[in-house]
Amino acid sequence: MPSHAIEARGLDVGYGSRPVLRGVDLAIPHPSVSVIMGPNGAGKTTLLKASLGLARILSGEIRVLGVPVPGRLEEVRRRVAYVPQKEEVSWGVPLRVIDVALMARLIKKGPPRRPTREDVDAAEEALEFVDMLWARDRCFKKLSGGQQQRVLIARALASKPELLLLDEPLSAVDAESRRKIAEVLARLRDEKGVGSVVVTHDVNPLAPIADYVALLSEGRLVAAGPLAAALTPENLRKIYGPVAKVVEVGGICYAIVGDAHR
Amino acid sequence: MRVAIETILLAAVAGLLVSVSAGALGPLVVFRGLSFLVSAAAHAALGGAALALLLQSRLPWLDPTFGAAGMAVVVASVVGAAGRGGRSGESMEVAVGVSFAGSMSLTVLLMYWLPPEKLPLVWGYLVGDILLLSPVDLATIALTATLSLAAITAFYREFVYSSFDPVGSEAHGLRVGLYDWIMLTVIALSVSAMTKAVGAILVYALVVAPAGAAVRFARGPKHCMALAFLISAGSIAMGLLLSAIVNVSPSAIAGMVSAAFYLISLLRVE
Repeated sequence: MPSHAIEARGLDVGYGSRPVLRGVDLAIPHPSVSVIMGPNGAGKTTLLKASLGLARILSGEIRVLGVPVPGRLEEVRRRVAYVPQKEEVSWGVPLRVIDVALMARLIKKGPPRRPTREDVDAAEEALEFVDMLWARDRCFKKLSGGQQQRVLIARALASKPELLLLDEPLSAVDAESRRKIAEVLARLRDEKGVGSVVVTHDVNPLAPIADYVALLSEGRLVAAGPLAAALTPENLRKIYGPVAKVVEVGGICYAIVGDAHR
Repeated sequence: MRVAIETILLAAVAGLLVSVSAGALGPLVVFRGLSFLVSAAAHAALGGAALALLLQSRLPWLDPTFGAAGMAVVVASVVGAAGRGGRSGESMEVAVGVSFAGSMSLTVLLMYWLPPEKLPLVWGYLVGDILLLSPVDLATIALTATLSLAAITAFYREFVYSSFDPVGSEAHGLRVGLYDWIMLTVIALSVSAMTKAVGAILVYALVVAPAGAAVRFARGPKHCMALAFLISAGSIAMGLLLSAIVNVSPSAIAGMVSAAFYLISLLRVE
């Protein structure tokens, strides 16, 4: 098993020639629940997209599960599953929950992409894992935000990945769904050896289960390591600014920016 | 003036074939939020036909149909390129608008240089009539219905997945750019060919409105396609029926009926 989920050295990433991430050196352990956090525009999503070959690597190198990107991109995409921000999903397409859950698995399978009994079983198992099998034949767009997010996680899981990359899975999601998502990620790591790298604004729901955090600000890595070591008042003020208030709960520091804690 | 029964039957066959294309492609247009593409493709065909007619003085073998098809492919390619890298929604809609304006401008420019006797040939790409079908028109509609069905049968999941989540689908290994291009090209080619045969009003009315109504009731993409086909076929049947009884344009009635279906669908609270 590879020892790192994502490993970057001197990584510059951009869209066109404009760098969004600059000089990032990072080694996220695997399997783990790891968090990438930082303010808007810090480059969090860009780091995930670079891992999947969806953003242009300008210089340096990045490996996912030990496999270089973009050199062996097909292998990376086969072994990794991505959970996009749910705002990126189109609400105009009327799909049932089971159809959404089958999607990543059938894409990886290649043409003609017809589902077999084995595919349906895998999708149902994944829905069960995230406690959404009850909604199997419901219309996806009629579910709540938290339920949709769990279905998108099931979609990723049905493709039997070694690593999940999740982009803001906790945003616009109710507290109960946040707790369930955190529980799912912990169980995946502990029971199946599947790691997760989570981009989030809010580390709070994941703090009890997260192993590692990387703090980004303005495209640069500010700090990385176990939560207690990386989430220091100094580091939090570096990424959220000197006006951020920092509180310590259970040995972990959180930043309070405006009326939201991070 | 009463319309001959043979003409009505021929028009009914054409209407059914147009409904097959509309049922297969209309929902894809609506899923991607690209209803304006239908209009842009028809007007691109106009520009392409004008260009081919102008070039005929040097290339006598160049039929305007090739020009129309070529320009429809150009529009599909421009729209597809605008949506690359997951920048689907707004970028593609803007590209559709620019393509529409660009091809209309090209048409106006080229018509300035075309001899007057060729101008009706250009306008013929927008003003087909379902009651004045030539054998070539009918063959064209049959061909587009076959192309639409073949494309949706071969790439149903690829088109639906690209529409639902382009970024996620690409991240899992789907060649979203390629399937987008195939889908947009089939839509643009079919719409431009059908427009020449049965006229712009009927194509707009039967491709977009039935799919827009169907998507509000559908339980899935295939269900949506089936409903769009039924609404489309029902609208054209109503148009032809009324035109056989009273002296009205079947295209106009079909357009009003399909628009009515859409308006009624808006009453449904989701």
